[in-house]
Amino acid sequence: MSVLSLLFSLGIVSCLQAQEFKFSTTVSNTKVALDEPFQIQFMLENAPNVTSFTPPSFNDFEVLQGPSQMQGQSIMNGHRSEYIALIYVLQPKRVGNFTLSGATARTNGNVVHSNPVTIEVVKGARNLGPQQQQLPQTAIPQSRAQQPGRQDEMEGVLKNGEDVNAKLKKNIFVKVDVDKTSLYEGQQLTVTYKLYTRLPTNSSVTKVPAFKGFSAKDIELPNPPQATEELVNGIPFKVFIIRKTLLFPLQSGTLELDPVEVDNHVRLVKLVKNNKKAARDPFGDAFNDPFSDPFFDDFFNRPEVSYEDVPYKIQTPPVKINVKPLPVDSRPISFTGAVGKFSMTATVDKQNLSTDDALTLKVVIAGQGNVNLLNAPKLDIPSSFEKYDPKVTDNIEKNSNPLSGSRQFEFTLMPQEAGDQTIPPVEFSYFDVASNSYKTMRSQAFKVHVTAGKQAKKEKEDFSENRNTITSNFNGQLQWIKDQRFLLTSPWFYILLLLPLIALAVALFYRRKQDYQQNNAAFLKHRYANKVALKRLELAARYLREGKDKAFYEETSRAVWGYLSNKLHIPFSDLSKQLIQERLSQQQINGENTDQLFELLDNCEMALYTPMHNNDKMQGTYQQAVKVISQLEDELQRAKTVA
Amino acid sequence: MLLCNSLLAAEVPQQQLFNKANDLFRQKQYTEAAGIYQQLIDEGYNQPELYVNAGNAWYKANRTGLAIYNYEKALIRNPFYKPATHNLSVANQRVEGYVNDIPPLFFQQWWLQIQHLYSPNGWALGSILFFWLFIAGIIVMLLSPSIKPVLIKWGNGITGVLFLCFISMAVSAYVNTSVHDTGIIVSNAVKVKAAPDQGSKDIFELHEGVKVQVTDATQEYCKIVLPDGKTGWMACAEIKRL
Repeated sequence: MSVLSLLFSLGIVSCLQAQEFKFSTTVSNTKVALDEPFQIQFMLENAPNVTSFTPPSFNDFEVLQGPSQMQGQSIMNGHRSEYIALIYVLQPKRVGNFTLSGATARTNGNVVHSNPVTIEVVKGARNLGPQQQQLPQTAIPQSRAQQPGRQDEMEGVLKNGEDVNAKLKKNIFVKVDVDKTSLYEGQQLTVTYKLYTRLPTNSSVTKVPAFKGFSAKDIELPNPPQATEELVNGIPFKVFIIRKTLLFPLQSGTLELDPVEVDNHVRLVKLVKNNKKAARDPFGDAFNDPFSDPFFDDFFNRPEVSYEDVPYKIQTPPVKINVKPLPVDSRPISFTGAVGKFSMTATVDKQNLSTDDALTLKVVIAGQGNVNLLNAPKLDIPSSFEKYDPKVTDNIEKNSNPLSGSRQFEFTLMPQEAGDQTIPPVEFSYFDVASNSYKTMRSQAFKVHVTAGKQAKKEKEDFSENRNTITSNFNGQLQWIKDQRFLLTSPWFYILLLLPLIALAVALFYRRKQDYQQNNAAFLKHRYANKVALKRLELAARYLREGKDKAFYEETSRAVWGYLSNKLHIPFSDLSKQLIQERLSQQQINGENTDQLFELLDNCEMALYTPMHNNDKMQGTYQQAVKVISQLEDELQRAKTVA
Repeated sequence: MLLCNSLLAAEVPQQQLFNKANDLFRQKQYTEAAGIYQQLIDEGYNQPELYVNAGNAWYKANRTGLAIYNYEKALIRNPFYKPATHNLSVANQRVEGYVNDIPPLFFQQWWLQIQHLYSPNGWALGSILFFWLFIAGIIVMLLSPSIKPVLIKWGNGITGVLFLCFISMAVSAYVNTSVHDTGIIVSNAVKVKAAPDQGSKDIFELHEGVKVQVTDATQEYCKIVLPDGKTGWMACAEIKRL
């Protein structure tokens, strides 16, 4: 019933521009044994508005199954085509040659016929056994390419009495494809997980392998997944790739690939034969079903069709991979784990630089193999350079198999010392699987001329860069001078401070002397005379202080007389006023001085004979005496120099 | 000249030791490198660069206290040596309970700058020089009055003032460097006690690298004052005086 309604609805659906119309009949086998079932299929391609379909009469055959109806679309070379197919499984009743006239259908109001086919029915079915087994697979070989979906749908029909599990097992499975099971550490292994199916199924991957012990690189798969066809034991399967991964073993030993688990929901069509009912009452159905065509009913042994979603979980079998360790004895020092086939280039960005600049050593390793696992080559950088960790840039070709691409290491080197420096060659080794040996490559050595730069600039940069790391050490030359003792505590300091003071004292003394000699010689002379007088009058001064007036005057008188006798070279007994005056005038001493002298002598004599205690007068006399002696002394000195 | 200089320096055993320590540092043997730097310092060399290198080595060897000590030493030698200030601040980040020092005020900064214009001996030498000039001026004034007395007087005044300045700076520099009243804690964690004896109660705890002021000391114990005013007694062996 539903087959028919589908047929009708198709008329509406397929209103797209029709391509080439085709109505054909195909049989699975033109030569069949007597009790061997075979398939006959009527195919309507690009038929719009199919309103009726009449199969030929299968008088000499028994309808075992059918009609099962199938429809679909296919796009070939950009042309869209639609098809409807009706399939019967027949079994011959008699031996002989039978011609099945084509089916008749009405499309767009026109009646069309399919080609007739001739079936040869032979006896002795048993010996055709193998052929029978092949039957489902070879049923429609010529049209498979055109209608890829048909096969599955055919297999999606669950025949009577068929075991569901057995059918699923036969028609759906997952498989692991490995390109090798024994390989070296680091060598590439390509693993493909595939889902093989001949049934329409809704599948989801529930468990993804983790690939323990491997480094994995997935290959991107098209989304939605594209099916390919593959023959398994001669049976075509639709194949979906679940996952394709390039694996690089990281350790040696026996490693196991985890299984993939796939949950399937398989849609099976169940058929129930309905022959009796159709034969007994051709019109009964029309009564029950207003959509059915009584004309159809007569000929169709329409079975009841029901769909069933069967859950089915499948797993890949575990795969053991034997990973061999890389040979140790011949391993070069520069080997860092690269396996494959590589080439290396090393370049420096400048040949001349200053210690303020940075040098970049670029090493590019390109080739096929575990590019994604390449370690930086060990560099033997002289200590006059500061080396930093390399900057790694990958350029791996997408979806390449075997994995190929390049990895670039940029080493930044900071020259610390000026001069001509040589960076030793960069060495890189890999294990070549093809020749089973290690290969070593070496670049040339780099000569770099380093000039001294401004160290200060570099230090400044250091400060701005990181607030949380200490600055680098001072590596230059130091002035190895110890601190002296404190000058302040050493005697030299004070000696040095005293020296100018001594100089000052000397200067002062010198200055005094100069003054004496230049300006004040007379004054000093006078002072000398004064001093003489004071000395002569020393005793007189004492009597003056003691207030002994008589003694004072006596002493003063005697001092003056004594002075005169001394200076004028006159014996004390010969002294007289007259003689003194004579001598003084002889020496050209002016009279005023002489008068004062005599006045003083008179005063003294007077005071001696008229005693009266008068301190002021004594003082006056003393002063007079000093003055007179001083003056006389000066005069006599001068007279002497003149003479 | 430069070549000759570097050649000479290369021959100096101290420079060789210094280079060796630098190499050790580069090879990450920090404790060994620090040992050599320390040896040079103990010999009496006290270039700020040497102190900073020693501090770096101790820092890398995780001896924060000694690192800070050396950086502080370098700063005493030259308060404007940038690597020392920078590294000191980095090292102080490791110090538990470190309180940021108040940066010196502008006039303190000026004072520091003036103080480090010359070395202590430089100040002393300068004072001698100006004293000589001053006295020389006086002598000139005494002996040859024919030169303009005003000029001489001014000159004498200036040299006299300069002499006083220099000698006071020399004295202050001497006092500064010979007073060791601050110290760095070099032990991991130290209990600070209320009184200078083993049995007294703990007041608080100090960690390696903290800078303290030492105000009093007995044979074994030192009285310390923290910047926040807390005081206490702790074993002198755990403080390295600056």
